[in-house]
Amino acid sequence: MKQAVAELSDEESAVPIWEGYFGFDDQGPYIVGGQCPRCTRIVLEPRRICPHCHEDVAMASVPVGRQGVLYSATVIHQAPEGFAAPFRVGYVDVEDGIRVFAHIDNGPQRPAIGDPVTLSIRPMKTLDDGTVLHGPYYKADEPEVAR
Amino acid sequence: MSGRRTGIVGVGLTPFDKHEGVPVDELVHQAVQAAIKDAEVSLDDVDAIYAAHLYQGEVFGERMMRALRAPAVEIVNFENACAGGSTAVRYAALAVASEEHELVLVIGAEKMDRGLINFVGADRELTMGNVAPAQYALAAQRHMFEYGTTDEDFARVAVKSRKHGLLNPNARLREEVTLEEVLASRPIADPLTLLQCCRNGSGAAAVIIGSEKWCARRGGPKVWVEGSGLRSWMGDSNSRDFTSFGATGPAASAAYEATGIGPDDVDVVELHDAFTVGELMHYEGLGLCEKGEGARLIRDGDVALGGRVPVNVSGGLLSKSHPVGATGVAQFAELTWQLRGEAQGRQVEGARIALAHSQGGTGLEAGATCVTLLSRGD
Repeated sequence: MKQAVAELSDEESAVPIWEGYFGFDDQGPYIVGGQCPRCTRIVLEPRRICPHCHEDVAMASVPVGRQGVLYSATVIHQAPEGFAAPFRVGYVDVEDGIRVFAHIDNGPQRPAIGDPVTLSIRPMKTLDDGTVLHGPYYKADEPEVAR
Repeated sequence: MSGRRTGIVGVGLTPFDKHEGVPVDELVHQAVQAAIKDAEVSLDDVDAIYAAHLYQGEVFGERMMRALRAPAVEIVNFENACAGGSTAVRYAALAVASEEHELVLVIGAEKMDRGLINFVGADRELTMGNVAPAQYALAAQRHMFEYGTTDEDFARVAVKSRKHGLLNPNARLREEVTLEEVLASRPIADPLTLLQCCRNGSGAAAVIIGSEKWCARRGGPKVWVEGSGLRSWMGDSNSRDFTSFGATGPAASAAYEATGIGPDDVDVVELHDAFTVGELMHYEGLGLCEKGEGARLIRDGDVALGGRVPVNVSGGLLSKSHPVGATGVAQFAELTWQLRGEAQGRQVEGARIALAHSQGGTGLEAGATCVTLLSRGD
């Protein structure tokens, strides 16, 4: 338990690669969705003008994307600056018809298209000044362990 | 396309290459000179100039045309990423068809360095590493999952187009490659390998669009602009089926509807093969085959010179390289030569209907696709 808390606080200090893309609560990391207080629909990233009803609203942040299903993934071998190749990226279908772009586990337990996946936050890119930017990373759901 | 009959009067091309040390002005001037010569017109006859580019800065068209002492007519600069050139041609044709203008010069040009294309307005996904080849690769992976398309199917597109490039004196890469070589070239983003990705390039193209009067003035077979469709995709608006790449389907439907021409009528196609994956998916988007059957066209040779509907007989972006603003305009040069019967060494015999397709965007989140249909008139 102690260790889990330590990891969480470490993740909370993570510098995001895209401002406001993810957050943490007592259930762990999530992707930040925005919910329109008028039409109640949820979109990726809260914004001022609702893309559905086009009202000027203050969208409430709602957690999405803790779990999902892998829609597609590829391994990038020629890395853009600041990324370490090879790395895997993909799209994950989460709740409410939302499809999230993220980095995907490329290890021995790598999920295949159609597999259920779980979100974590990992280092994604290193800037010239050494700053490490973090972003969403999905890995295969861990099999239920008998207790 | 509603309005009066509109055609391509003349075309010019500065073949794409590195052109190191050559200013973009010189590339543009060569293409314009070739186009006015081909059209048998003077630059003073032109009553509007549309310029497509992505990276060349403010009032690009005005800056390019200054040194040619062009008439001080309406000049508009078009930016629609890699679809800028085709977008400019579309609006030139609409301007002539609507009788706003008589003779419009379209230029497309770009000077580029090597490496991945850099965007000024990088979106969220691009920032997280979703570079252009990865976007196509993600579409490919899903296409393989849903339809059983293989690595080899995509690689065959490069083999086919490089074979065409060998026949085109304007192509930059003029050596054939084998399937094995394509598959064994350096991996970029699975399943894409280096030989399946177009290179950056520099170059220019010019097309002169005119009314029937201007088309008739020049001898030889006529090339009519039948109509076009321009559509966009935006990640928050469209359902995100990445196996249909960009807005090819909607743009093609709009073009077919505007012209009464159907995919079965098309004799020759120049389409946006920035990556092999895109070409195969565009076969489907353009309706050259059913959804999911793109691989069959490349396996059976339908899209090779001599096949049912040859695609990218110029060699495509894969053989010519990709100076962004010039690419879409250059397709019209190739298709004009094809429809006139002047495409020596790579002529699609008896070609009467031609289709141009190009698209561009900052990624899978936002972009534009333009499809234009041309016909031969005698």
